[in-house]
Amino acid sequence: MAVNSARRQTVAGAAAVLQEAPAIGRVSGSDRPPPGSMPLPFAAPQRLWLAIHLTDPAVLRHVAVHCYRFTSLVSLEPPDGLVMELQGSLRLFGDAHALIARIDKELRAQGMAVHLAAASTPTAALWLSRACSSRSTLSALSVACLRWPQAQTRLLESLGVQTVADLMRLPRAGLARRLGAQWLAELDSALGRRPDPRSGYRPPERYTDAFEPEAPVVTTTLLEALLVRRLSRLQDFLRSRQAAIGTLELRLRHHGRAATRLRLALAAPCARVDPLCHLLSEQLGMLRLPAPVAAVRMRSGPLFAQAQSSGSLVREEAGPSSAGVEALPRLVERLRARLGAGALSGIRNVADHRPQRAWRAVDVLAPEQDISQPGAMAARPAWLCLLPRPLTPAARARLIFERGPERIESGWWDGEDVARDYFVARDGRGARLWVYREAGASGGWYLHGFFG
Amino acid sequence: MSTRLDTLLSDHPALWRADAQARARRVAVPTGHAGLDARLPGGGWLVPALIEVLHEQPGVGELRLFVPLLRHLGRAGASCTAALTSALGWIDPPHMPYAPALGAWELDPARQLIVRTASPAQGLWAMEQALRSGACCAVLGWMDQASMQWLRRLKLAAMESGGVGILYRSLRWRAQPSPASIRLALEDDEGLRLHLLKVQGGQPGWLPWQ
Repeated sequence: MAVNSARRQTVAGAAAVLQEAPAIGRVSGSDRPPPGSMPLPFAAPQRLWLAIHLTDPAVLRHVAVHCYRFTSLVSLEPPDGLVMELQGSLRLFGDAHALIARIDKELRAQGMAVHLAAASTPTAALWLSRACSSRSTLSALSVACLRWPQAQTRLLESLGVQTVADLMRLPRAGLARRLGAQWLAELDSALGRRPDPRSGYRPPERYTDAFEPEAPVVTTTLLEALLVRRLSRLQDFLRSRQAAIGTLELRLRHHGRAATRLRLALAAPCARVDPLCHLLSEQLGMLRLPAPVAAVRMRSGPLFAQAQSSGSLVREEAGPSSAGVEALPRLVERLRARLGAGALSGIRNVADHRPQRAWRAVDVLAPEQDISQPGAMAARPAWLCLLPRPLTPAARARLIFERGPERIESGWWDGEDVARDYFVARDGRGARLWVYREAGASGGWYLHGFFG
Repeated sequence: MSTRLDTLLSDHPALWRADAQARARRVAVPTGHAGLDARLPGGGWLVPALIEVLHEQPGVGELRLFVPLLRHLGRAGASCTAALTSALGWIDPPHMPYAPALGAWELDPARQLIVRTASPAQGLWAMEQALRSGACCAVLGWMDQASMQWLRRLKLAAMESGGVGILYRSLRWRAQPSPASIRLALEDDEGLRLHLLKVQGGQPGWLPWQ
């Protein structure tokens, strides 16, 4: 089988590199990590790094999560690679060849096209993985796998450098001058002459919980009480992780029926469960249980790092406290839970002369600023009729004009052009109106707003 | 025994405690109309409050009347008693509040929360939630049908949160008693008049309204 043989070749290739690796990996004792980087365990000799090159960059995070089972240090190398440290895992998983073969097999079983390569430094492992060939060694590796910028690649080409071995044969001082010290440093990192720090990837955490009540729960009131009590565990979890939660999904299982699903979505992540309890109460209040609830599962969405703020020693007298800042998202989610997501909106100004286009509805928590400049315009009514209402001749006759006309003529470019004369007028009963007359022959009168 | 009594009483919303005075300090915000200021206690709109406005149709200056108050409440560091953010809630407004006009009044359109509900009961609930949340420094609600019990709940919500609730209702409720702190009617009586029907601690009466 082609796949099988390809896999065996890859593993064989990794093994070949493994034999070569200790020869490359030499870390001189005088090398110190550059300032700002972590003091490294990984740059020490006798490390085993496994790099994975992906044909499909979209699965990068998925692969990272998968590999996180085998080691605690997985480093993403976007767009299409990742590298992980395996030396520390060998005691648990045994033989290096077997472990690498296992990772390879598991990823291929999921239908992913991957190329694995092992080396004693992460940079070398990454370079080798890009070769996509099972038998390459570092010295025979094409310099194209280094993915250096075009200027450097062209320079190497003009020097006749094709492999890493060719590169290493060049005099060091000249190389540093012509390539740039940065690239020479990368080469040193690959060869283990320099520390090669990597930042670890942390997969997103989730909270899961499941329980079965002692007896099937019939009423939503009892269910709510049980769930709220259970949510205290989530609170402990969030507190211990210093994390905030955005969504929580609940599956209420019944005997012999499809499960009921509830989704609690907070408008903004929160580190406390009280808002979730409020939402739960709202949703359960509207829920009719199709059958008694036999079991409950809950699963959170991704957790968020919680912004920490220390409490003030003295009681704050005025000014928005953190509770005040959080209050709006809490209010929004409560209203949405009961009234539906479409019930709430915010508004913004739009730079357009046409009155019906000078504003737009936005999501109520939309972060964008408004563009209005106070007092920059002629009088505008506080209420706008979404559809202008035709004025009857009788109503038109009762108007007492106060100001106008203000000609608004715009929009010929998008087919919604208007040409109107706007007036401020009072009707007979004390209301101040914004009316307009269509410019042109028809000259119809319309009511477009009220000066509230 | 006395501690239990204390805890019982401390949570009772209807009980006014002298030591809570500093906390519930009420601020008067000038209305921008000298004649109106003179009739209101403290020389302006008292915060917190529930204000009831009776009028027949939009466009009689029912919003403009409160612009100085809303602007004051919305400003950062406004001396609200509670920690309110500066959002302004609109529950079931009769038309769309027009962003350019709000901008011209220096009310930031980005701070408006417009809520549309399907029934009067939901509207009242939403207004109470908005007042109690502490997210809104003022909530404007168009609630024509509101029972006495609901009016009391709204007043309590406004007073406890330290915000301002403004209720817009039809003139036909003129004879209905109301727990609102201030009750006024904007009506056309040979020229538009602002009729102060009830002012807690001030003088009811009328004055010409532009």
